[in-house]
Formats: sequence, C-alpha cells, structure tokens
Amino acid sequence: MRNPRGGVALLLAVAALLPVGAAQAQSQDSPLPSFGRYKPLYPGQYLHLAYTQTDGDEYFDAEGERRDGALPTYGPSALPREDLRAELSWHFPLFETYALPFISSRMWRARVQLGYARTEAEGAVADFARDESDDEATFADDLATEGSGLTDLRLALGTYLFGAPSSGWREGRNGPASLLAELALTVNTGEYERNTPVNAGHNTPAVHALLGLHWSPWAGGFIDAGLRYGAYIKNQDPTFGAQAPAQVGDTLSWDVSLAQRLWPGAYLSVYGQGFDRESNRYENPRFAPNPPTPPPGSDAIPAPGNYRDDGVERRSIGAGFDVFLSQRLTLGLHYTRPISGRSGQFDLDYNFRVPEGCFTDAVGCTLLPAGSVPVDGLEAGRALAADRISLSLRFHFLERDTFDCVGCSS
Amino acid sequence: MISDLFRRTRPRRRVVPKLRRLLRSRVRARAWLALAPALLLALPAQAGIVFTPHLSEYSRLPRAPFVEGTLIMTQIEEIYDREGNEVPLGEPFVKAGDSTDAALFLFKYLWIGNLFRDSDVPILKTRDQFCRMIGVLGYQQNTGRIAARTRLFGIRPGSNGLGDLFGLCGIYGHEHQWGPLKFNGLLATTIKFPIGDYDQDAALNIGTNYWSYIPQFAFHAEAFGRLYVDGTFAYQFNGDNDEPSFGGLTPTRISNWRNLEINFAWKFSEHWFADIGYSFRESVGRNGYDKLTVNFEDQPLAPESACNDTNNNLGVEVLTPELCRNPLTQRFFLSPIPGPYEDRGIEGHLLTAGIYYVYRTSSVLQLRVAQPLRGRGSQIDAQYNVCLVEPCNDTTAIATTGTTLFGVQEAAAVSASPYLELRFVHLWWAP
Repeated sequence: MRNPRGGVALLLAVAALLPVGAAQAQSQDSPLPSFGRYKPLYPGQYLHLAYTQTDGDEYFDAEGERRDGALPTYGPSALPREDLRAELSWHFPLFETYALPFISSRMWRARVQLGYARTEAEGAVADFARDESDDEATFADDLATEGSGLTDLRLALGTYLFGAPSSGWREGRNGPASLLAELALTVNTGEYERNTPVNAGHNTPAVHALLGLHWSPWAGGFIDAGLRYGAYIKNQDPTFGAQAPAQVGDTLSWDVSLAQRLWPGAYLSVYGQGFDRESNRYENPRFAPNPPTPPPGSDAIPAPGNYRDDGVERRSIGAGFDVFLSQRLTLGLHYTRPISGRSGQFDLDYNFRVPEGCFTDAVGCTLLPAGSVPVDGLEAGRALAADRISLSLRFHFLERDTFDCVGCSS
Repeated sequence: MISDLFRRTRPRRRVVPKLRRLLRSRVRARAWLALAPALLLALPAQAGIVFTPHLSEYSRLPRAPFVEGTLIMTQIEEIYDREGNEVPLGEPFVKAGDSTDAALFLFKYLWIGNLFRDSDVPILKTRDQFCRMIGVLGYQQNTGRIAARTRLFGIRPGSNGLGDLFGLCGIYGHEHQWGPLKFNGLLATTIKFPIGDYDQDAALNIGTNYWSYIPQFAFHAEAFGRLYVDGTFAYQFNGDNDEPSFGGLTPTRISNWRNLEINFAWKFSEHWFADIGYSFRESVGRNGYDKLTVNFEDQPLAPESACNDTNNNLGVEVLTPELCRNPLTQRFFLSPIPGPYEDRGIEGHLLTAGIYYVYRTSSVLQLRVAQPLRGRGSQIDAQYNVCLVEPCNDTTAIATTGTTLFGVQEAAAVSASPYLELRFVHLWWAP
C-alpha cells in the first residue's frame, strides 16, 4: 500500500498547472495543455496564473494555407495579444456523508476564471480603422484598434465519473486512471468595444461540456486527453461593423498530452490540440474594406442579410516544461505551434445606390446589384497561425476539505 | 444562516408665417416620429440589487472573512413610464420583442472582527466591526431592432466590463433577547467609487460615473428559532454626473434615494431555508438633465425615415403613404435644446422570493427571483430645433418640436421585468 503522505506529495507534484482555459477567441477552445490537467487533485484550493503571448501575424486562409498577416482583405496586419489569466479551483468531496446516489461517492472540481488581455490591431486594419474618410453611410466611422481589458468570466463545475472516489480522498487513494465530466458557463463580462477588430471579451455567453481523461500508465508518466463541446448564444452586437460572427458555430475541441518526469520535480511534456468550429453566421455586415467601385452619381452599400463562412479549424502541437519550485509552487513554460487550420471568410453582397446617399425607401432611389466581395471573419472567424508562448505559475493553498464543518455532524 | 449554524460551536454573543405654420405642423409630426426612437432604456438599479437583503444579511456573524459570488441575469422587455405604466421596451418606435439583456456578477468580501477588542475605546470595544468590498462585473446589451436604432444616433448599444466599487464599514449593536425573540441592529456607511467602465457614447454602461454615499440602519431578528427577519433603511446621497452618456439621457443632477427593504425567511431545517422580501426605492425630488445632445447622426432627415420608424416597423399607419413617399417634401435638420429638463422622480417596488441550502457550516447556495410590483421611471419633455439649413440652432430654427424621452440607466430607468439571482456564499477560513 502506498504511503499516504507519499501519495499526497505525488498528487501535489502531479498537479502541475491545471487547464487554464484561454479567453482569446482563437484560443478559447485550446486551453493550455499542462500535464495532469484532468487529474483529481488533493482536496483544497489552487490558484493558477498564466501569461500567454502571441504576435498574431500569421494565419491560415480559408483554403487552409499558412500566410503572413492576419486579415488579407485589409492587407498586411497583425492581431497581437497578451493574456494574463487567473483561475481559482477547488477539489472537494460533495455531500460526502449523505450517501446521495452519484453525488456523494466521487470527487468534484469547481473553477472560477478571470483574466486581463492586452490586444491592439496593427498594420493595414489599424490604418483602416483610423481613416476618417470612410463612407459614413456604411458605419465605417468611429472605429478603433484597441480592445484591451478584463476577459470574460468563466465558471465551471465537474465531477469524476471514475477514478476518484470520495471515500479515499484523505489518504490520496485514486486510481491510475480517471475521467472528469465538467460543465462550464462563460459569462460575457469581458471588455468588448464593438468597434475594434480585437477584443478581450466575446459579448456572448457560452456553455461548454468537457470530458477529461487522465492516466498514469507508469511511474512518472502522465497522459491527459480532453474533448469539449462549446455552444454559443447569439452575439447581439458583433464588433467592427459585424465582421465578427453574430452566431458562433458550435465547436468541438480536443487536446492530448504525454508527460514524463525527467528528475524529481521536473516534467517534460509534448502535446497536440485542435478545434473544429461549424459554420459561423454573420448578420447584416455594415462595411467591408474592399467595396466595389461605384459608377459616378452612386455609392456602394452592403446588402443586409445573413452570411455564412465554411467553418474554422486549427491543429497545433507543442512542448512544455514544468518544474516544482517548492511543494506548493510550480513554474511552467509552454510553446505551441499551429500546424494547420482554416479561417472563416464569406462573400458580402453589395448594391449600387442611385443617386448617391438617397434614402433607400424613397421614390427615385434605386438599388442595383454590384456583386460581392470577400470579407475576413473576425474573432471566432479567425484561425491565427502564429506561435504562442505561455508562462504559468500554480500555487496550492488551503490543503484541506474546502467546506469546513466545524462541529457539525454532516 | 451561517451564523445560525455556527452558534452550535461558538458561545452565543450579544451578532424646432404661412410657410412657417405649414412647416410647423408637418415638421412637428415628422420630427417627433423621427426622433422618438432615440429612447430606450436602462438597466435595473444596480445599487439596489447590490443591497437587496438576504437571509441573515444583518445578523451578527462570526468573526471571520467571508466571500460571496452572485450572478444576476435579466432580460428587460418592459419598463415603467412616468405614469407608472408598464411599457414594452422600444415601443412605439420599434416593435416589441427585443430587450436589454444584462448580467451582473458581484464579488463580495466581508470581514468581521473587532479591531478594538483589546483597547479601552468605548462602544467599539464591545461591538464587532465589519467592512465589505463589492466588486462588479457586468454585461448590458440592447438587442435586435433596439440595437440597430441606437446606432442611428452614433451610440453603442451596449457595454461590458468592470463596474463601480462599493466599500462599506459598520458596527454591530448588541444582541437582545425577549423571550423567543432575538434581535440586533447595525449601522453602516457605504461609498460607491465610480471606477467602473463608462463611455459617454454608450447607451448602457456598467459604471455610473457618479459618487454615492449611503448611510444605513439595519436590523436582524429571529423568532422561535424559525422566523428570520432582516430589514434596512438606507438614504443614498448621489453626486452629479457632468458627463452624461447616451446623448445626455442619463441625468446630470441625480436625486438622492430612499431605500426601505425587509426580508422574511423561514427555517425548515438546519440546511433548508426559504424567504420572501419586499424592496422599495424612491428618489427624493427630481432628476435633472442639462446636457441633452441625443440626435440622429446622419442628417438631413426625410419623411421616409420617419415612416420607417412607424408605419413599416409597427404596422400602424401613422403617416399616410403619400406623405411618406412625397419626393417634394423638404428634408430637415434637428438639433436638441440641451436643457435643463427635469423628470418626476423614480420609484420602484420589488418582491423577491428564494430558497437557500446551507452546506455544512461554511457555504450557502441560493436561488432568488425578483419581480417588480410597480414603479415609475424617468421621462422628460425635450425640445428640438427644426431647421432647413445647417447649422441647426435657435437662430436658424423654423420651429421647435417636443418629444418625450425616457431617461436611461440605473438613476432614471425602472425595469418592470423580473431578474434571477444565483448566489454562493463561502466562509473561506473557519474562525
């Protein structure tokens, strides 16, 4: 039988950095794949801090080709972003002594996640935003470039379907394999400027369901694999002239990692992750950077309606190194390289309005079809291909049952 | 409730000529129709939500740090006008059915202790003190036609981000017992720091952009160990807002408020409680509006746009089609007369009901529904100059026209729609 104190130490060690879910649209469905992220941990409270940086200067186009830039219809652009995320997580038994079916017999995990993102569009898209000579009838005025601020709030609650019975938590008795089922809610309180190509928040609530498998097949070896499904509520006010989706497609994402202890307290991991997002819907886009040139005496205005891209996807690989600075403090460094993907793009229909600036419902005001122009989907419509670097810190505190029961019997 | 359970383990402590006339009539109708859609709504009274009492809100809790997370969600489809009628949001200028969606997340940290326990400072020495910080994260968004309408004024239809910060400190009175009745009082003062996200070009803001100072008396009573009563009277002194948002539809001179709230809870068991509460909020005097600027961003206007606002969207023929589509009709310009204007003050009556589950002695999970019973929102009779040339001002105006506008945001609008509250309280460290 394993020494309980040794078991606790191992669990602490294995804890490494829990899955700190990213708040950025392009990485929202690709959380940091730290090893042991789905492992049941010793009951207590854990604080996870993670800093992630990406230059946002490469992207996968709608045909899946890797290209420089971020938004081809605007010209050379970049969407750099830095994220600092904090996550407080609890591992705990719930209704342990009530003998409630399903609930009492297993361990539970709750998470609260909040962060700050610094992001500002650069290059051609920023020049477009700053250009005040844009056609004001199409709302391409009053644009901005920076969307920094607090990210969305995420709340999650899950339990272990197997491998983490509540009966043995005090002794650290978990099986070598465990399966986590979790439901999460994104509350869209994050900064959302509505006139910028980038934002810290998303302006849409979302729900996520996760299955996370953890397996320790040999001593010092850890395999973690996750599959999650995300469903999004309609964005009532998509940013940058509604070039971001009003309805983000349902998203299936996955991640898998293999980690091995190199020496005591030091772990090397390799991982892969990806997401597939169904077609995004764009509602009444109000401008495009490349409108058709109108004949004299007329102007070009977008045709209102719903437009769809062909979906968005991305696959990435990476490696990480985690080291325990102390029993309760862990430092991690991760490098992620997107290897394939596809961004969202749609063809926006245009009309020539004759005479220029007339009221479309007025007698004598005529709309003539002007063809269509390609538009790059923003936010959840982008699959950026730039590398990401993450630095993370985990601190384990209040190592005990989360719910005090001072002097009570249940 | 936490205190109740804790009592088993702690010793109980004592806790706008002929032509002119012609123009005047036509223009008045058009201008009114064109203008009116500017006005929408607001979010429920944020401060009111923050303070609505819960079970044992004012009881003497054990000396300890407490943390609380509260998620509040609402879809405002109706608001109160100044006559106290419930009005579908956006009507009669857009069809009913759209709303203002809002979510608030409140994070509260409460500390209870006695800094003077070992001193000789009178009163304080024997009475526990408490301090609380309340941080707010929020989301407010006009939807559908209302959002599209808002953009015509060059206004952003919503906002997200950090709200104002509330800080309060107070002192508990001693606990008294008369037979089966136990009670205690408390005095507290809250300061609202206007640090929240605020944009003058937004229809809705998370932050308020004015200071508030709120002295408060509250009490907690328990009878027969089953009935829990918490009540409070708070008077809110509000500062001015010199930078109103939504084109001046938020008041610049915000009246003070009276708040009266009471909550009755019944204890079914050590773990289960249910409560029902009543909350009253009333402005003391009127709100003032001094900087009205809300106007169509793209001008001149034409009757077509006015018709779009009414005949087409509403399905109600307010203007005849001949008038709507008459190409000979002059275009016109509008400009608001900034003020001053005053409303009639606001008032809100709210009923709350909820259930609580106390888990062990350290956590409370609560679900609550709040239903407005009646209320009165802020409206002002604004004046607009109507001109045939630019710039449109008092000199170039050929007429003036009046329109009634709703005030917006928490100091002016009163929601007539319910909200849902999910709350989790956790005793972080056992004392």
